[in-house]
Amino acid sequence: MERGKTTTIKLILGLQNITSGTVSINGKDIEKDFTKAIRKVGAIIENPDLYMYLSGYENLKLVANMYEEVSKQRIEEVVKLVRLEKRIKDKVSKYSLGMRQRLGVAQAILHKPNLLILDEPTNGLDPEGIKELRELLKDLAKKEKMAIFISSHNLAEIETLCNKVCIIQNGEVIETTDLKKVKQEVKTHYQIEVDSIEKVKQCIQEELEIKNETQFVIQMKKEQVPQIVKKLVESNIKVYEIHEKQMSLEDVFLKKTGGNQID
Amino acid sequence: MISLIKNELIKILKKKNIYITLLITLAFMIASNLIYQAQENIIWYAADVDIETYESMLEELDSENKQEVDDYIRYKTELETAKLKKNYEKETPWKTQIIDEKISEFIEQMNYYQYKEKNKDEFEKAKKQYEDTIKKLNEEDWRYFVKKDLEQNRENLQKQEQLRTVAQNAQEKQIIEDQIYQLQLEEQILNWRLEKDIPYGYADYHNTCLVKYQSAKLQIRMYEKANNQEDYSQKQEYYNNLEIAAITQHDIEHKTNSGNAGTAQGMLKDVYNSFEIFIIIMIVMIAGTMVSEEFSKGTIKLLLIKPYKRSTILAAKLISSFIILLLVIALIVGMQFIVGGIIKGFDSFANPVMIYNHHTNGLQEMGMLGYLGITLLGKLPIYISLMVLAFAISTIFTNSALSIAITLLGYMGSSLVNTLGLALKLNWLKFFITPNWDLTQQFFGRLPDYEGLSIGFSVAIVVVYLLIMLVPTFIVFKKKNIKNI
Repeated sequence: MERGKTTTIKLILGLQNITSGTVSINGKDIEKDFTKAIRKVGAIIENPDLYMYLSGYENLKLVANMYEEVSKQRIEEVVKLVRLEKRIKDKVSKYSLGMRQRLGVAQAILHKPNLLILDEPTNGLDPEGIKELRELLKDLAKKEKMAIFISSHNLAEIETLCNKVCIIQNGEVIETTDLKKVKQEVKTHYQIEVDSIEKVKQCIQEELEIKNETQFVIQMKKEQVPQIVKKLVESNIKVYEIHEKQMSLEDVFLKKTGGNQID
Repeated sequence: MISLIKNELIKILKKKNIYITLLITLAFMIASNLIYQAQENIIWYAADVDIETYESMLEELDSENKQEVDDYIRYKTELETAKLKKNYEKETPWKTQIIDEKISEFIEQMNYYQYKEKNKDEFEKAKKQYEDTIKKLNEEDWRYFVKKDLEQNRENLQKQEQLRTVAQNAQEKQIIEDQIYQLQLEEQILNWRLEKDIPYGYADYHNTCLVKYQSAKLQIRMYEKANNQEDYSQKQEYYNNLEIAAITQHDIEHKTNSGNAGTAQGMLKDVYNSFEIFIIIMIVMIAGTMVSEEFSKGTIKLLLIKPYKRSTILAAKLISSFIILLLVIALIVGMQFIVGGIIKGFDSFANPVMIYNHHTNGLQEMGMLGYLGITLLGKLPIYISLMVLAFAISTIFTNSALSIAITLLGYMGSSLVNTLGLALKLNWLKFFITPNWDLTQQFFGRLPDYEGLSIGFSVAIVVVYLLIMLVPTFIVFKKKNIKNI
């Protein structure tokens, strides 16, 4: 479980002491200038931790009291944004997990942060909740113009949301780059169906991944495809089908981390 | 900072547990006020039980049997006294006392002459005395009995004074002088009964005042004449008696109730002592969960990523619990004011509070509010120390149950430590916090339990202990890593 995601987030937020290196947000060092660095940051760490015996509105009011700039209208605006208007006066203990997550987002964005940090935001949510949250976050990024920093082990989720990724394994950063780039870098896989795999082995020197008696997978760039086909045809091999296999972030992740089991 | 304090207060006041504890306190308060009230109305003498016992005893005895006749007379006297008392049970208590102290003597004489001596004349004489006394009893004339006692007392006094002139040596003279002092005191009390209209009785406040005044005065004289004035506990006793004598004298002379713990005013004066445990439970419950609950519920993370320094956040919590402490005290005082007022009447609150001041050796008048205020100042060190202890443990160990348990145990243990220290004469314990935290012990020149304390010294000790608890708390909280919560 302990890959270092939550620890990283806690370090960024100043919840744990940094032993080496620095974290700065908006140009301010989190350890030396905590109050200024954290001012424009909103976060949900692990679970949306709310005061269960208070109503949703009271929870937001507590947060609003701590920032001078948050007005009553702002609270109402945010409540609308997370679509909790109808239940905002109810006690949080009566909320569903999805609603709590949304309230958590509301209290994190109340003071218009320019950095929103979310740790495993979809943990424990049902598919509908996940979809709602995803739309909400996309909305926020556009409307409120904030950078959203998400940690997750659910790679499909990251893929649909993010445009930059950073892969951490055993506490070490392996890769930090644009999502599109990551996928491009990796050579595309092609699955080819032929009449006999034995003949293929003889004529192609590149590494093959043999699926069954008639199918194999080969890594190559797009430009190489005609060459391979030519080779195969010249060797009297019947080619029935070639198709490009789409790489998911998960495949990339597995590749980058060397195929370790992910938690 | 102010908005942080406001937030903390909202979080506390929205919780139910403080209100539940207040309700329990209220119930306890009503009960204790009612019990006090009921105690005054209880007739302590169960005549019916006595009558039954003596009757069954008499059945087994024979007045003609020489060996049993003494017992027979004794039980018969008891029985008749009990029956007589039962007749007057519903009336004023002075009659019961007269029956016990005077009439039962005549009954005994009558029985003695009837069964043992069989002397008709003496019996008639005793019977006449008995009937005369009963007559006076029925005439509601308690003053007659006081006057008779007074006459008797004067006779005794004259006798002693004569004896004094012929006393052989100093020791004998001393004993006679003690006797004379006692008789003079007795005379004073009997005169007070007449002047201030205080009939005989047992349980009413002014009768207890007379008894307390008498014994306090005797002990004061004993201390002043003795030569062990250096003994600290004797001196404390002496100071205590000075207070009792002055206040009872004042109450008798003015027929007031300023020393009466049973009035609504008396209950209110004692409110910090009577409900101390409730005040402490409530504040410990709040201060002991304030930080640890944020940790156990995970909400601490929310709090610590707001643009405030950790020390500011912790200070806001500490200040909030102090505000809650004052609020709880105000509520408890207010509740006692209302409950006491409803059960016993609000009129007693108008009387000034009388305090004996050892600096001026005299009584000092004080308004009720002023008294409550100054007593609160004296008691605050107890509440604040326990609050800070709970707060510190809760912050350092982030464990609510531990902080509440340790603080309450510490409070209970404090009186044990104090008494143990006194019993074993460990005077160095005066550098510990518990002998110092009740400043009311030293107000108005009173002598505290431990010798050699002063208000300045005690305040300094309390401050030092508070710092010892608070400094590590702030350091730990500042450095704390928020791990998996």
